Amino acid sequence: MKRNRRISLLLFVVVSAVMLTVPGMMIYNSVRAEMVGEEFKFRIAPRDPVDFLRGRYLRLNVQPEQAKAGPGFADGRGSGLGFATLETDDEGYAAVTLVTLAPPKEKPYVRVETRSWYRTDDSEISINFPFSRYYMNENKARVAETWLVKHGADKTIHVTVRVHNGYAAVVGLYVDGKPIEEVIVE
Amino acid sequence: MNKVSKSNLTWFESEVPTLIEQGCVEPSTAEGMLSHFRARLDDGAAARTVFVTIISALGGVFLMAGIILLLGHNWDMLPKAVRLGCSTAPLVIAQLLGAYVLWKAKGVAWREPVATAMPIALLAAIALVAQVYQITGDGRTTFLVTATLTLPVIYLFRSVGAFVVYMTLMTVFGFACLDLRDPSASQVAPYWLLWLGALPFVFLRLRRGGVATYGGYWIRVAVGIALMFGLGLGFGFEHLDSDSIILLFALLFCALYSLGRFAGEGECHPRLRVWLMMGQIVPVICLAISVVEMHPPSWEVGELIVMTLFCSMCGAVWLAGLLHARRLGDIEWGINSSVFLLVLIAMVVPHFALFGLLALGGFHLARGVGTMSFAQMNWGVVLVATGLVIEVFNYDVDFVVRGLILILIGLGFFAMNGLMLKRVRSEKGAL
Repeated sequence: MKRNRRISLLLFVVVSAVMLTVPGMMIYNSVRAEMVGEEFKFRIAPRDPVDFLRGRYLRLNVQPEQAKAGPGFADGRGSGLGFATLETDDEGYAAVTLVTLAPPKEKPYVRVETRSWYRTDDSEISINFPFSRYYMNENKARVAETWLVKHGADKTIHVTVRVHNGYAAVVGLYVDGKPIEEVIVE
Repeated sequence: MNKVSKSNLTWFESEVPTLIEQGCVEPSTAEGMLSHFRARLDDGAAARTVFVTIISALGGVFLMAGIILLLGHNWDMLPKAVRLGCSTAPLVIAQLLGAYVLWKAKGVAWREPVATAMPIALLAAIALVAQVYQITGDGRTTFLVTATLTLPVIYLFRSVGAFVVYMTLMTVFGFACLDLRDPSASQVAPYWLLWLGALPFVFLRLRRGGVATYGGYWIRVAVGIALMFGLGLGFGFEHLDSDSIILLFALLFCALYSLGRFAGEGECHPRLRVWLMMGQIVPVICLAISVVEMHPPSWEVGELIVMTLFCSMCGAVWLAGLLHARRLGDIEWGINSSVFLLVLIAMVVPHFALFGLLALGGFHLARGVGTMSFAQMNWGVVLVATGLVIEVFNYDVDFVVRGLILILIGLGFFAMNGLMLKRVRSEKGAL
């Protein structure tokens, strides 16, 4: 009886460790990307919805929404995981050179969700970046939304992201180079 | 020696004067029999303890969700480390309690709430860490990972509560698959693998505990929901949109529920009757979800067929329920059977769902308190809470208000059960 209890407890310790690994890995990948990741600026166009559990956020339409599809996507492969190879363009913003089924070697990349049904061209594929939400305090998010609806069209908005081993950590959301939190206070 | 239920004893007490009057038993013999049965009275204390513990856990979940909302409202003022600590603390606490429960081989009153809280705490930890680090995440993966890690918890703690959460996560994972317009087999296959993982627990538990228990009933409801959803998904994937698939699922579940309700009546303890209608909440919620999104004037043929079938099924269940209520002479069954009718009216009249749920919840709450039935009273609280949560979360209400409402509901659970326990104890003392 006592042996069974010990085995149960041992199994539970293993399960608990695996459970803790899930948020742990999320934290580790984000911290690692923040510390050693390469920085990219993505152009965006925000909107403001609500997440029931996590609060209010600005939905970021991260650009580009389509990119050149690598081998494997041309044969009608459905939505799933892809790897977007990143470069910085002449204006200093992130550009996706290729989306592949496997991570590229020796080039910065980020994991993306691919969506084949929006394809307008066989050589291109739609992508969703893993940082399409920017969480804010609900009152600030409301102000930010109103501000962006009024003034957003005339401004350059970008999200700065640090990328490491495919994982991305959001540094901040910027309007004409200023953090959105400062802009809405002004 | 077998226990005697309170209702049976009341019936016997009412029969004694007639038996004496007709000369069937001597007054002294009748008095002796009454004393004998009163001594064997089962006041359901053990079952009530477990039941109150489980309901308290539900109250605790509401309370925790409310506190998280209040904290999350303003927690960008807190350092990141504190926010991460708050996010993972419920999971760590649940795990420590879990280790304690396993080590001390605690009973069901400990096992159930601790095991049920664990997957909920894991889900909350993932969501909140994702918020702290601005990770958009993928709902499908989150539900799949949480369900997979819940599976060993079910077996280690032999927990029906964790099993119900597992089946819910699995079904939500299935719902999330509806977003995939061209899913590959590997993306949908985990749904059926999760199914396979749950089957041994279902067989073991039903074989050991039987079906006519609270646990057995909950297992059947959860299995029914998940199985019917799987079938709805399988039949509807290629031909229907996601709203119609949800309706198809509601229809299938409704059919299964009606079958089980009438075919399985004989094996069911009278106390479980009030819980049988819990099954109705599934189509109610499904309809509430899909009707909000659907626009009847633009329905296509497939949607119209599914809707017509669903309405017919609702009507059939309602009539059958009324006939059943008439046969039993039980007004409660008649009202319970009218839930479907309330839903149909709610589809046309705005806010009717809220008032319908509040009225129905109020009825059960009052009747439960009157008859001192914990099950009926808590069912009333669940209905009222569902109405409030659906209404509050449907609108752009301030997060502080949402948090406070959840906390109030949680405290309501505790308060109602506390007051009821006090009343039961004082009446018992008076006897």
